[in-house]
Amino acid sequence: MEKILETFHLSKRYGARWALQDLSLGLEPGRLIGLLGPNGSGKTTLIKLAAGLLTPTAGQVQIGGQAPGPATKKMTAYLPDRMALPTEFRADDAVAFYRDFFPDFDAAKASEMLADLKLDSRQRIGAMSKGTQEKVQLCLTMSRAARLYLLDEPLGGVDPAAREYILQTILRNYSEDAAVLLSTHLVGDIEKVLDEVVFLREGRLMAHTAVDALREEQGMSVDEYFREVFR
Amino acid sequence: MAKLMRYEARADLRLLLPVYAACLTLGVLSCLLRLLPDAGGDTLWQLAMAAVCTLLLGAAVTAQIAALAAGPAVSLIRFYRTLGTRGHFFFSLPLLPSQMLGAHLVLALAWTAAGALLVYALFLLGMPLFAGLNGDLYSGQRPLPDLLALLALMLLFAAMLYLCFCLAAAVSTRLGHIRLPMTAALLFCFVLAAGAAFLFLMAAVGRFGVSALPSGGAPGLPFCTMLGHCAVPLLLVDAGLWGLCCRQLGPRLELA
Amino acid sequence: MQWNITAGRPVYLQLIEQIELAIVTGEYPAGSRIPPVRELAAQAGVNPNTMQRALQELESRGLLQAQRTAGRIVTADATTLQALRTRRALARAQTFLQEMQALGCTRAEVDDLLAQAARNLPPKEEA
Repeated sequence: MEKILETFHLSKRYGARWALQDLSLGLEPGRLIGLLGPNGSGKTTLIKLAAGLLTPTAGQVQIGGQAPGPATKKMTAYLPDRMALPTEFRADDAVAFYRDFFPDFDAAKASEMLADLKLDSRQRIGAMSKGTQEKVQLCLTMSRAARLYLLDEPLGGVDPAAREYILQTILRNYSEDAAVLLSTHLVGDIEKVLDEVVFLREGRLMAHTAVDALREEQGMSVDEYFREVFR
Repeated sequence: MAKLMRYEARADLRLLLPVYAACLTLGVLSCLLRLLPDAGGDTLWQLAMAAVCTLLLGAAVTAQIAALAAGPAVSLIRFYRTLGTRGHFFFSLPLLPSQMLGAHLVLALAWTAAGALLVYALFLLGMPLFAGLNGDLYSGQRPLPDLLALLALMLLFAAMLYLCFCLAAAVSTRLGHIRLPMTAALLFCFVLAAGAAFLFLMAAVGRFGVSALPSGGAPGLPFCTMLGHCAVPLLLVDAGLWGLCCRQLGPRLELA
Repeated sequence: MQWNITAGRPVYLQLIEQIELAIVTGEYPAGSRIPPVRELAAQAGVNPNTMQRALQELESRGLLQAQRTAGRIVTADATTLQALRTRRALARAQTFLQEMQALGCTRAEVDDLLAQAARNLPPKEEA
């Protein structure tokens, strides 16, 4: 199957420090892939390189066979690990903005999801609580019919109920022609949601396996395996 | 890109319109007040009126400085915010980085020109006012080229303000996101704008041997008219910097 | 329906067990339609591909029938359902007896205990 995200000996350096080294990876559509690793292992760097926010020091990253650019951004939905929407936007301004710039955005679905959150659509984003802001960002991102979803730490720092909501949203928007790459360092909750996992450590690829295969071969959960490998 | 500009323009206007409105109102008010009979005298009422007029004139001049500098300043601030956390959102839009930057640059140019034209219009309105201050300024011999010279001079200073923006953008895209160019550029904007306002005032009242308008038979080109002719080349320099920024932003985008 | 997926064992095996249980207890009645894969996966909080795998396995066991465009239905075949019930009950019985043995109870004691427990059990409503 044609891979939606591929990296070829991808490396990224910040000054003297290598954030990613010689990373070669391929992700297929229709899968939910977890990007796991300790802090500083290069997860956010990889996601940003795929999203076109950083340029590689060496190697290549390709989305649907093309280098990151406006064409790939049309089919990539990126959710940053921090709140990046302009805070003076209101919720429906944001929906209108997404609709203007992304042809694959489903405004009706987005409005519905925001209504489920019991949000006043005229409220400014800056006035919302942090948790609500992140949910809004997630709803907007998942309302796009993209071919690659890049979710950077969507579960970081939110309460269990919100985590549940986030995972449900991701699962309900699953599509067979899209790949979802989500990075996290909290493996436990999400391993039943994932098809495959990619382990990164100090910028290098340690493993890329299917979750069920890992459970069968190792006889332990991904969480336990993760703890053992990165002890 | 047009869509982005529309959105950016609306956001900029939210900040700029009050400044322009204030400038316009104060300018018109101060002109109108001057039309009142200027009878000399020491009655309290007349002294009070004189004080109010002076204050109003001072406020009008401040507003004009603000109108000139606000345009590029607002664009610059918003551009820097895009290089920050918001960049994670804006640079994930399906646009080329040069289109992103282009939108800011075009709008900065538009606002700078708008501010300059506004101040110029107020000056035209207030010409008789300044004539009243020092008698024989406006000889009325060749009005049209004088006004054109004044316009050219306005545009010169507008171009210099716009230059600040382009310089700051060029430096920051080269060096990555640092706050120093922005602060320096903003300071420079305000200094230039204040200088421009001062220069105009002085030119208008004919002090320091600087005259904005050539009076009949004066040898050579007046200083300001000469300066005014520099406006066009300066705009070309701005365009060059603009191109440089766009070229640099693409391959060097680093949003850590 | 309550889903309880634990760590350590492959997810799809657990899904198969829990869906079978739901069929046996009548939570998914015979002949009824089950929700589509994506919906079930979201309810269970698991990966849709894993859920698909589990459902396909259940199909091959004859417990589910796929209809071309309309999702899956639980089989109405009484024999298959009975076989499933027997299999599950037998497995539970074996586990129970093993535990009793580990506690050191004899067969007679086990029968007494069962009778005692049955008296305390609230009457099951007739189907």
